[in-house]
Amino acid sequence: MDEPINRLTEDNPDSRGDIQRFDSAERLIHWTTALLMILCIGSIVAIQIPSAMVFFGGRTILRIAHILTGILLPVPLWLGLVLSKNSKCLKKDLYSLGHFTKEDFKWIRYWGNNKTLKLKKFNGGQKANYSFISGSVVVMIITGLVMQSFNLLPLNLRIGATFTHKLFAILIVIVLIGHIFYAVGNPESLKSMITLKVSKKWATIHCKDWVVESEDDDMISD
Amino acid sequence: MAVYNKGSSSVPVARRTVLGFGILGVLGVLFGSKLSNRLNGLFSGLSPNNPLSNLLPGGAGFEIYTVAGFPVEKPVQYRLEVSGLVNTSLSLTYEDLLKLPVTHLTKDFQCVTGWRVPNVKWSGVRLSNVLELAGLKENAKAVLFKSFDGVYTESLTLNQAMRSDVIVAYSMLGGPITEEHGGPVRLYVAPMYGYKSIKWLASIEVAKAIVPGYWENLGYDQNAWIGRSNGRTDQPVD
Repeated sequence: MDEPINRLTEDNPDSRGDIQRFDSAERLIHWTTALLMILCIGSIVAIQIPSAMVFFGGRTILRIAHILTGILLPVPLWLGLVLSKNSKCLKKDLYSLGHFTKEDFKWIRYWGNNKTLKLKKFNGGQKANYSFISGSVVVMIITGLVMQSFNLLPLNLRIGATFTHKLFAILIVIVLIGHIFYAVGNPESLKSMITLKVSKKWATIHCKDWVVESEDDDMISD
Repeated sequence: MAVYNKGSSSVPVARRTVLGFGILGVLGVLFGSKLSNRLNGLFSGLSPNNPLSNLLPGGAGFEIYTVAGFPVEKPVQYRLEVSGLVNTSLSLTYEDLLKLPVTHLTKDFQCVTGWRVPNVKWSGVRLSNVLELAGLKENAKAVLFKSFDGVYTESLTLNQAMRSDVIVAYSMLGGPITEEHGGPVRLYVAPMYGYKSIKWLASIEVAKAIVPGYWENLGYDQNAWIGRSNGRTDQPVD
């Protein structure tokens, strides 16, 4: 294992070229989810601003848009899993995103600033982002449905649901701002969500152990 | 080292995450109201006009509720109809209301869903003044209100309606009442939960008995005293 790591460095001629980071199914899932998320957040923000509410056609339309896009949020990922049975990338990436190792907790503790960290495809921060957002969508849908149940459930439950919904809304926005902040700060990473590829050079810096591990994997294409 | 088993038929979503957050969501629904009440007013330093105060839990902002959209009526066209068991039916213009003796109140607005806006400035005419102007008949026992959105209704007993902290308001938050707050004219029933303070007030009808309003028909209490109804224990507004 140690040998190839030494071989792959920024200046090494072997580090040239591109490697595939995502597949087209993942790209489609990412951007449809992103679109739903933007509509979901945008509609509820617009409701808070009277002039915007009137501009977008009133409270009722925005409310329906918010509820609908919110409920649809998990659908692209779910559909992707059902339909693209052949997308090894999606299953593999989801598996590793959903499973924390000691290495990931170490990454979070040092926020990546530690030379001894193993650099796999996804770091602890990315995994935490995925877990938090996917889990929070569950919270938002549960609490959102309780909020809508005007006559069925006692008032106290609706107040609890409203509170939890708002609290997680703030946390989600903070995490999403972080997600966008790191994406913009790493243009190559952001670009790969469009072109599906990263340069081997970038990958060697950020995900050295992934590059080594997947040298003979079919996800790599030169 | 996490190894992805290529032969595995299991769906690779993090079940534990989904389950854990699901439980968190249910706990939030069950116990969130207690936390919510404790946090209430935590951000009360924010102005009620600040949009941020609507977004923060515990922020002291109005949440804009409407059951039938936003009816628009300009003060010029506005008429407040007063009818029923009165000696003289009235049709008051916005100007007429401004000419009546003004009452200023600085009091909290408490919603039955938990949010509260402290120290809101209200100005208007006491409902009792309007009723006295029309003259009450002997069998008058209740007052019914209608909104010009055509859907929302409310009612008070005559005793409740005659209180000095129940006003036909034309000003709140230091200016004319805006469209989303129920302008140009709304009711403000200080000691009761917000659903009593009917927005876009169109008509007042004096009657023999109360008629349950929009929210009463959906299960809210008719006598909506803050802290003594709807199973809530908020600080009364008096």
